[in-house]
Amino acid sequence: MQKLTKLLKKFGLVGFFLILEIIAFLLVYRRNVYHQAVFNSATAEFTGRIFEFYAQTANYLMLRKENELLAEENARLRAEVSSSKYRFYDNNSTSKIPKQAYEFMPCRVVNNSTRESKNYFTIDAGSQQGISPDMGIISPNGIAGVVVDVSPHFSLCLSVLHIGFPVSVQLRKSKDFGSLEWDAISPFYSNLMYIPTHVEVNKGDTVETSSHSTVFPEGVPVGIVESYTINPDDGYYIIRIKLFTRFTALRQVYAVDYLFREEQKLLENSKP
Amino acid sequence: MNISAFKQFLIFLGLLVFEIFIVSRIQISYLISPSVYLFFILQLRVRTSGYWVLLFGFLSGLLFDLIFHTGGVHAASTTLAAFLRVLILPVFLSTEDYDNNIHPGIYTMGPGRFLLFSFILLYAHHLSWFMLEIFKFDRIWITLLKAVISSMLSLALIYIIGLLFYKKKRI
Repeated sequence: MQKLTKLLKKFGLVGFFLILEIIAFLLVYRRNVYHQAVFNSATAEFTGRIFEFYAQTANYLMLRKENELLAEENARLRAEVSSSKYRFYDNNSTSKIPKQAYEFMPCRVVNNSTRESKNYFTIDAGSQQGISPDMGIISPNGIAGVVVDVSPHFSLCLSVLHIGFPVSVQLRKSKDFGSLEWDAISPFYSNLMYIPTHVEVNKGDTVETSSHSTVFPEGVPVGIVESYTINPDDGYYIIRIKLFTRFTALRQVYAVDYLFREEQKLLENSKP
Repeated sequence: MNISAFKQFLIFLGLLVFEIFIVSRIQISYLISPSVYLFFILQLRVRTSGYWVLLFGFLSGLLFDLIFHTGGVHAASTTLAAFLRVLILPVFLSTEDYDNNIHPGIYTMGPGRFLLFSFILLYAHHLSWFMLEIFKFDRIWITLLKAVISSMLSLALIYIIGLLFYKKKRI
């Protein structure tokens, strides 16, 4: 150590400065080699942990933004699946790209009720974002409701938990359709009515939306069969369904726009 | 370890955290890349031996090189700034300052003297850092501009640090 001090004294401050700079420049010059060899394993662990901690904190703060991005991506992907496309090609069209039949838009639920017998919820998109009445609302797990009224920035939606919720659903296995009727008891269960008794129903069967609806695409999950009884009055099943959508924790939803709704309704209204 | 050395250690630790987690994340534009850890070198007592100043400069730069994986870029530029401090500090100080062995700061030197002194060192630090990082001379004007803008922002940050963490000296 004394020798080193003597050497430093001899060289002086400028010499010391030059020595340090030479070391630094050697490090710059040997940047890649030295990283791989000496310090990498020792420092990578330490700095890796620091940056991992930072990234985790930053990720947590970014979750909201991340959620929005994922919701948008999901909406795009939902629009890509085959049930969102029209099944036939136009005669005069040369391209064989299926026409888009359904479009999806991510929205957030800003108000929600599950305690009434006629429950509604409000979403944060309205006519300015292209929402119109009769558009369907689906949650990431299954169906959620249908838009009944719009303002410029919000939409009021009829929840599945509404005793008058009009939707046609079917059993995924047999495609027998009935209608979904909520009994205003539990927000986790609903009832599938008007399935004839010759149909085979098992506990655990999946119930999905049928193709008869102008609101939802075919095959959106609704729930699974929990139990079933036969109604003595009319001889149809009463099937109790455990709903997939958690209405008590409804946040992220998608508005579904059926692009041929007007055309289909116009045709159906013109029947004699 | 005496109290003064411990205080210096805390200052360095604080700057380390501030630099890694906040300052180095400021990514407004390519031209803005501030760095404040040089403040540790700036505020060392005025009678600190030049060898120590150089050594501290080199080691702090080396530490940031290890963290940011930049080879020896920070070490070289911080050593240069430390050497410059040894050279130019006497110009900014009176005999009284040497007698009191002050820490250079806004309140001990006065804002004017301290900011000019800091800016010269910060500019040297940023310029050498950016030039070594790019290692090309064909974009020298951009690099000069980047160094001016970045050292201005660094100076502002250091000024804020001074206002926040240092007490006004009684006269």
